[in-house]
Amino acid sequence: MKLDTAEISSIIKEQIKGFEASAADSNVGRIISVGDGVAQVHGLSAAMSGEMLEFSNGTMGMVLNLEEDSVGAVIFGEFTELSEGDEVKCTGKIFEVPVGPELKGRVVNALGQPIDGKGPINATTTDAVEKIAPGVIERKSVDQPLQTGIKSIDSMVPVGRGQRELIIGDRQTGKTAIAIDTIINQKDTGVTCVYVAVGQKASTVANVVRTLKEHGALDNTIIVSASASESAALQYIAPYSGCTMGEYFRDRGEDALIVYDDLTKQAWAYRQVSLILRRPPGREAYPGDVFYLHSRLLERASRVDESYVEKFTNGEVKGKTGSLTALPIIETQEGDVSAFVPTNVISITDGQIFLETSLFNSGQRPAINAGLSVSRVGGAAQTKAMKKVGGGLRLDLAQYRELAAFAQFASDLDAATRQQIERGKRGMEVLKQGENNPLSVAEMTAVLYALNNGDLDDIEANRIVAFEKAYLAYLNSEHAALMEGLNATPALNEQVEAGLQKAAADFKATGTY
Amino acid sequence: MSTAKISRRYASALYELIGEGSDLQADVANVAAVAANDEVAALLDSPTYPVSVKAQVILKAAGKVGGEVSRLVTMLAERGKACLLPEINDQLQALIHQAESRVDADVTVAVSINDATQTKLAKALAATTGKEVTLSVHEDQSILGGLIVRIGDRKIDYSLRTRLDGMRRALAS
Repeated sequence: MKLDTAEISSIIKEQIKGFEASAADSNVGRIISVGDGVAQVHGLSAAMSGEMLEFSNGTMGMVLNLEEDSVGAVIFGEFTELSEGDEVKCTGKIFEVPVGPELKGRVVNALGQPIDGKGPINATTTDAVEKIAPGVIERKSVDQPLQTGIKSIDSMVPVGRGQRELIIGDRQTGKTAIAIDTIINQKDTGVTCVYVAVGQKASTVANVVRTLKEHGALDNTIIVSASASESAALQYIAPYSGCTMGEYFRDRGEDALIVYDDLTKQAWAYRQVSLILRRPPGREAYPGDVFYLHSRLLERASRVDESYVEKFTNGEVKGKTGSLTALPIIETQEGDVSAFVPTNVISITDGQIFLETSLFNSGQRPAINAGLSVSRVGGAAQTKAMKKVGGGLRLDLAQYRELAAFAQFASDLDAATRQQIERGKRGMEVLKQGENNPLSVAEMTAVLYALNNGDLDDIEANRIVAFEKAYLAYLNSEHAALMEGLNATPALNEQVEAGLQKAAADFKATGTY
Repeated sequence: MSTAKISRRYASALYELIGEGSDLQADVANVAAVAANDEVAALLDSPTYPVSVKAQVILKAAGKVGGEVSRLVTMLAERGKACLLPEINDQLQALIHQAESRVDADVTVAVSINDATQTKLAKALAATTGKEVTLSVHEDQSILGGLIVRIGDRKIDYSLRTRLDGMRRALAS
């Protein structure tokens, strides 16, 4: 687009005319020491805790320590240009970020500034980053399912809207993959997703953006990125910024999902900032309030009732509840879930999905350990159909695991035990799922129904995955009406069950798997 | 470790004594002036001299000082903090000014202003702050025009340079 000089001149004239040249009356201070992302500032007598500060080169900072005659502030950005004696101004505003639907489909940094090169974000509202979570009265219990599209999760550890479900495991076990698949599965459900990347490689974040775009889920997602090369202060504040952006939708009666990837790195960043601010270190050198760091963040993910939404929107939205579901991710070292930060977050969340390296390496992906994974909301957040087909699955798999050692001597066992082992093997195979391939409720129900019904017993265990793929393709093409009906009302009545049985029998008769 | 905190504690103790009726200001200013002297400062720093010598030097040089101030000097000498006397005096003056609602305003201008303007400025500042304002004016060509007023931590920036900077940032964004 080529602007001619007359247009440019008129734009500049507008800017100059509209420019308000008022006296800047501000509270100022002087840097006493600066380094490692933290500045000690003398003066600033009117500074508030968590207030945004402006340094002389335009960089922003936040007040974290209020001392008798100085203030400890973290610097959001490059601190190499700042030096001792530089002037620092109070902005009078507690740290806030832009919020609103204009952020959907964009990639922003922890301050809400766009980093995807698609132009400025014209957000009309900003909101504080540190907020108090809704009180007890304002909440409603979780009873709507949030479909992740992953069979093992939706059947055994279902997640509800407004729940916090922790995804915990060692490195390279598929934690981010579960989160991304969940986001992809929300693409036509009206659930806004926020993906907060803390301390990750910029290339990883770029891959995530590309994956979401390829599956058409980017337009519904806000990505907040504080990558590994950014200052520790930005990595510390990014989850809170993301949470504020998600709360915008929760407070207006909509549903939102937020993924924190991952909170371990946020705890490291907070530890770094606290140690430089000379706060006393505690266990594993973390500051004393590392529990509060995560608890106040995760408490803001909740379901709020209709009266709260009505009051918040001044009566515009009636009769709708809002929710913010959180999927925090924690990386353990060598499977040690009893370390400090993992135990903290396990006690805060409403359940965990535990991923194991040994399962991952033996080909069981998603590598979910059904025994250790739990959802404290459970059946209340499951559709009737899934509750029915997934109900016995957990127990079956637990019994299978116990008997798995005898699997090598299968010929020496009685028929009942052999049957249990075979069913368990097929159960494990059925729960395998490819990456970026979330299934609909109907598809999951159909597959698990076939398993429970014994339709898979005569298929060899190592051909179950291929069978399932072909079966689903067959169902979607030949029995589209049945699938649509099941998706619309996910309940198993006699008619639907008969339909599924017939479909399975027909498909096996064709022999095309 | 900032010595300001320590000086402030002594200064507030002295201020409370003034409130109880003692008249120490002049004496404190006196001993502070003595302690600020280079030779005396060197003496106070040196570990070779005993505490009593250091205290005596200050008291004798200051001339006649009241009992309270002389005990203050001895106490500071014993704790090795006699070098803080100038700071203590400054803090005490600040506390007195604050109580009497007097503030010092530091004004920076690009071109010098005459006395009538200074009085007007002092009146305007007194109206906004509600306190009596003592101006100290100095010139700085680099602000290009207008003025900058600093009262304690508060800075009222009405300089041309800042306005031009703001305009530049607004146009560039």
